[in-house]
Amino acid sequence: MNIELRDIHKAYDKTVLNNISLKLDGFNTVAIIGKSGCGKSTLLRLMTGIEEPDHGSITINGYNVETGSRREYHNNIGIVFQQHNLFPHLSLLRNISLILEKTRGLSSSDAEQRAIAQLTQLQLEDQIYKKPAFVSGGQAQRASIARALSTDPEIVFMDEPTAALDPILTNEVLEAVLNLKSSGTKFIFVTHELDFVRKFAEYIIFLDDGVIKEHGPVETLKNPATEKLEQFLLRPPLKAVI
Amino acid sequence: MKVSRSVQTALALFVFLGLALFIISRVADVLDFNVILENRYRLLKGAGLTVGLSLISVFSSMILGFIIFLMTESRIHFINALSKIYKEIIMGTPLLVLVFVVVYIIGDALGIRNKVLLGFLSLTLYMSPYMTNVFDGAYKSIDENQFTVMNFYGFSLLQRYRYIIIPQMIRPVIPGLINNLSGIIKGTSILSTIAIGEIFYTTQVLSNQTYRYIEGYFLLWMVYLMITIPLSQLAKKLETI
Repeated sequence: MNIELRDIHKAYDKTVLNNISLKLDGFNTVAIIGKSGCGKSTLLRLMTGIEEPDHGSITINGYNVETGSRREYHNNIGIVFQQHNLFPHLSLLRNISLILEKTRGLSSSDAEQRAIAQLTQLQLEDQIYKKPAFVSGGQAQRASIARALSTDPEIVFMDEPTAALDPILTNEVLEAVLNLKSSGTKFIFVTHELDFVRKFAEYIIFLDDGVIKEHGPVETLKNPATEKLEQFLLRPPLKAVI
Repeated sequence: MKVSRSVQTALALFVFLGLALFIISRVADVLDFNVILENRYRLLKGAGLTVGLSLISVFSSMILGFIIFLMTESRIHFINALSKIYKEIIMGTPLLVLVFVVVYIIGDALGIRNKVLLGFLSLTLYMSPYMTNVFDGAYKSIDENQFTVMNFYGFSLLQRYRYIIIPQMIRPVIPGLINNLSGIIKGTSILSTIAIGEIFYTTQVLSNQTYRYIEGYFLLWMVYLMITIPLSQLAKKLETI
């Protein structure tokens, strides 16, 4: 995976990302970490093209997110949000097959088959006809991961997919993601779960107050170069215990 | 002592029944409902026209209201402004005034003389912005994140409404629609001013002919309550489903 960020700046009421730049190549799983409010979710949203930077350019795997075709880019990536964001009136199966059928041009039977296969991969084969309100938060989030994977994306972006879950459901979701590591799909994700980062990520980007304080292979976490990252790693572990 | 809610509701109902009986007893010696009974078919016809006109108007105002709602959601400012100005004009006009405007100005200008048609048009125009508000409320109940998902996956405008937005709007819209139907039924009484033979007008004519005003208006009151109370109860039930 190739990521190139150039002078990315984003402000809402105050500056969230302050002229950040980064170039990296060759890693399949990249984690963006940092304390709450440091700008990691904003960076991820900018990288997906859901939001636009005030200035700067983002190139992911050769796609220039600002100037290239947004539709083409979105057809090649998947997103998992903090909340599952499934359509509440549709079953888990239909949530996925509707997208495949209406926006990817698959026939209804092909769309259904692929949706079932994807939900089965996430161990949801018993829940496919249930609506999101009738499954657990962890199952709904796994269904949203299945949805993200169903379009066969080059890269899946995950924005704190366990933020809305309790520790048990967090483990359930993170274990499911860990099982996808060998699938060949590339992931860029934001999380607070450092144990998960150590197991899943190949590369880490550490943000602090809107700037990249440190970045490098995941081994960086064993031997941080900056005091900020060292302090961040010393904080008590969060919910997950995997 | 704890009294159950249903007993308390029944007691509240008895208070109103008691009040009604008290008032009736004060005028009972002069009441004669025979005239009403003799003209029951005429009155039923009037009630039928009230309900029929209301049902057709609720349907047409729903369609017009939905079109106005779509216009309020348009990204083209001109279309947006058209819908907003229309809403302001209609919502700022009392139904009675609107009926006169439609019958004596618009009807005249368009050469339409059919009063039932003009009455129907008045009710449709009058209720449409309220229908728009009902649709708007239901639309706003859809989580904003769903729109992010629709954008991300590239659903077309038609697909969004057909598969995602409208199916989710149906349930929250129903109570509002029923409340508006109730409003239209009450609104039909205004059509008596242009001599449409709905229940209010029929009762008025009958009272004028027989001098039985108390009986006529009492019956009228009961007929309206018999139609509107079940509807409002149905709306409340549907809100809790």
